[in-house]
Amino acid sequence: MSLLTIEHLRKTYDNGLDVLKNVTATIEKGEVISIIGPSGTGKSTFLRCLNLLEQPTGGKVIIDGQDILARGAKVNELRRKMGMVFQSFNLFDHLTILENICLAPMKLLKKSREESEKRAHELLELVGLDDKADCYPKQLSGGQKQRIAIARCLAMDPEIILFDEPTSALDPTMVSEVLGVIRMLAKKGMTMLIVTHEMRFAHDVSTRIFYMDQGVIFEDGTPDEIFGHPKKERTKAFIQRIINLKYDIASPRYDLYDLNAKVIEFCTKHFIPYRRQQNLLLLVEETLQITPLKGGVELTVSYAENGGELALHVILPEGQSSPLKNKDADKLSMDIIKGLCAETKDDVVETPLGPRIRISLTMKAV
Amino acid sequence: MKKLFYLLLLVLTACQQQPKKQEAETKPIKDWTLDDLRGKKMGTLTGSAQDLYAAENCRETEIVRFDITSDLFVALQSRKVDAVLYEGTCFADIAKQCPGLEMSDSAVTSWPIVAAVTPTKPELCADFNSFLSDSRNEGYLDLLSRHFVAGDEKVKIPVTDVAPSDNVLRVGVIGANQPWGSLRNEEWVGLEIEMMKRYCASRHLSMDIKPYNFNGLLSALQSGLVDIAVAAICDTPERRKNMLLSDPYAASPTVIMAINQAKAETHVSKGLWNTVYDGIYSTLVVENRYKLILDGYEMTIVITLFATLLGTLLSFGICYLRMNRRRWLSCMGSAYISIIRGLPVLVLLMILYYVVLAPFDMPGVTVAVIAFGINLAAYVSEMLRSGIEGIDRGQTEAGLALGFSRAQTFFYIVLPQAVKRVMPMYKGEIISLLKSTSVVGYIAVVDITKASDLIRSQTFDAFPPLIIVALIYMASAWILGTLLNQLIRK
Repeated sequence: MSLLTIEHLRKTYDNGLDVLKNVTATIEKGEVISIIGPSGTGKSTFLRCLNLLEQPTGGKVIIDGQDILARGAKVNELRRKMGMVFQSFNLFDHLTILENICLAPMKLLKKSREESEKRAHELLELVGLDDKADCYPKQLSGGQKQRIAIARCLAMDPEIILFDEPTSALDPTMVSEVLGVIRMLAKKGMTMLIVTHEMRFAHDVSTRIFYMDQGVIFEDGTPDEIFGHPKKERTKAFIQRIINLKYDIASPRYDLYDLNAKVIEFCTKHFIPYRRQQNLLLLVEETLQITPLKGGVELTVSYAENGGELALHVILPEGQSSPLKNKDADKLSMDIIKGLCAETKDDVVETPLGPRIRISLTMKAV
Repeated sequence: MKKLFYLLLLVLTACQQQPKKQEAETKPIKDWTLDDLRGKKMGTLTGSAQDLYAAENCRETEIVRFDITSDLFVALQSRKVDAVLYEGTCFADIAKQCPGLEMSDSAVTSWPIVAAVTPTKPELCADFNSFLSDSRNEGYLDLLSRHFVAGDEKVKIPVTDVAPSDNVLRVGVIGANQPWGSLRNEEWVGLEIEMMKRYCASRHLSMDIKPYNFNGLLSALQSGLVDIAVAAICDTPERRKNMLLSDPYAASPTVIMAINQAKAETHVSKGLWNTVYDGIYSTLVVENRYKLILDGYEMTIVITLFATLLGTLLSFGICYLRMNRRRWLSCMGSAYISIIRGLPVLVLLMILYYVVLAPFDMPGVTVAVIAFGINLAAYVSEMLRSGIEGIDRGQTEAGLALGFSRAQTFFYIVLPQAVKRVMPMYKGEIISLLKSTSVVGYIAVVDITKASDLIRSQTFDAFPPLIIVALIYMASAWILGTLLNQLIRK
């Protein structure tokens, strides 16, 4: 039986916004799952729905065979099986570190003071902060506080720990100490669900990655799959941090100088080297030479910050076929294009006006 | 610091000095009539028959009202009023304390003196009237009049001992009103006191003397908080109509009293130290008055302590109501807070004493504790609410995520932090409470301020008791503050 099963989880805000549309997932013991995705797509909301810090509008969350969202569910008891580490640490300011860690075991698990304190010291040693046991939270740095927060979770012996952007509020020097602790927990086999923006960390430590977008788990796979060859475009766009420049050409009599100026501006903004910029301008020119422009085309220059890949996409007007396949196309232009690009292909995309053919030219990495 | 001390001493000396010389009055005081007071200021005792008379008959004179007798004469001495309209019979006693006091020879008017009985006990009135007629027939009333009013010390009055009994007669009096009734050497003496003692002895009743100021006495009577009131009450037609009055047992001429400045100045002016020493001596030592102050202080502390306890406990309840999710509960909470915060404590105190809690016959202390407790709760609950709302939501979330219930999260995590935050303001409220207990004199509770009033009404000297009481309040506030600071540290 899996540790945590989520079925058709839905969350709608009062103003009608569907932040989680339909989330279904199964989490096994020992898995370390990183949840990545653009901001505002419900990653944190998803996590908070799991332990009912947010009230979902529908669906099931089954832990240990019990649905936490069912009527009559013993929410408090089920919450004790799930630990949560917050972006803003949320340590109890009026208690010492030792008391912070001991409070829940003593009051909820009814452990004795000696037993709780002994365990607390063990956990503090595990996260490397045993000498701070009698300090107050306000005396510690952010990284130290987060490690204490993790120790506090561990004191309850949870089955799974939920991390809600654990390093987002830390400055870069402190991020590594916290990530180190999480890595250590992963090695020990702790089941963890981590919402994070640290891509490299997610790649290194996770057994599985959820890419969340538009309120669903858009893509789900191993780190190599997701980071190496993402199946879906949106995933790819996110992973590679693709930035686009769109330009509409309405008729054959378009303003080439204006187009060139925009392209140069784009390149300058994103620090694309002069050589590549010139190659790009050439590619654009030649592509438009061989492309029939009557009816209007949409031109997109794509730059992937992650990896530096430059690509040109042209969406053709209705009824037009791909110029790449056109044997009558100008041979010189074709040769130049082929010389500049590593890959050329065409496919069909859905536009608001109906299906259109799109040609994609990926430039060589020079 | 030293300079400040000397400056203070200088100011105090200036306050102690006699009033400056002035032009002598053209007409001797003994010949004064009401016409002579046109355009002048005249003092009366609030709610007394003289007060009502003056309001109707002295339209061109400015009437200044005082709540206790001695304040009338202190005002006279400090030239705040030019004359006082008062009972002629009291002149002899007051003149001892008020150098240069003289009274008009002709009475402005005269009324019989009666006792007033609470309206719910007409049978008491009838019984008292029969006692009066028996006393008159035996010549007892005459004896009383000769001893007390005429001041004939040789006339002996039969000693009456009031045996303790289960039936208590609550007798309302005013504090210092010789020859009728006042506290001397910790004992109540006077014509009316003797008369009531005899009445109680004859009826096998226990006597419980309750001192009020005159106005408060009449209200207490109407609310049933005292059974019978004796305070040289004059029998006027309006009073006959609205109150239950007994038959008369004496008569009272109303006269004009004023100070003959020439005579007053011959009074020897002592040096600063002597004046201060005399002041303190007469305030504390004479008649063991320091005991009044100690008892008063005990009362102040008791009220402050219990009101704090009650108020704090109640504030948790009110705060819970106010912060509740259910609309009707939170409305109740805010209604309570708005209403109580909108009333001055004194008004609340009097409403509770004279109206709401009157049928329960509670001692004034209890009413005071309840009133101040209710008042404190309104303020502390808002303080608590602001403290709780100021706690970061993340603390609650962390608590919930660990598996604490909402209640547990509140008590273990949110509340300790909220209380810590709110402590400095709480300390301020408690000290404020200590000081505001000074108004309980209005409902006949003798706290330290009322004790100073009582002393002042006997010595006719405002300064020493007030200074002593002020110092005691300041010291208490400081001690209270320090104690609460210790609590904050924890």
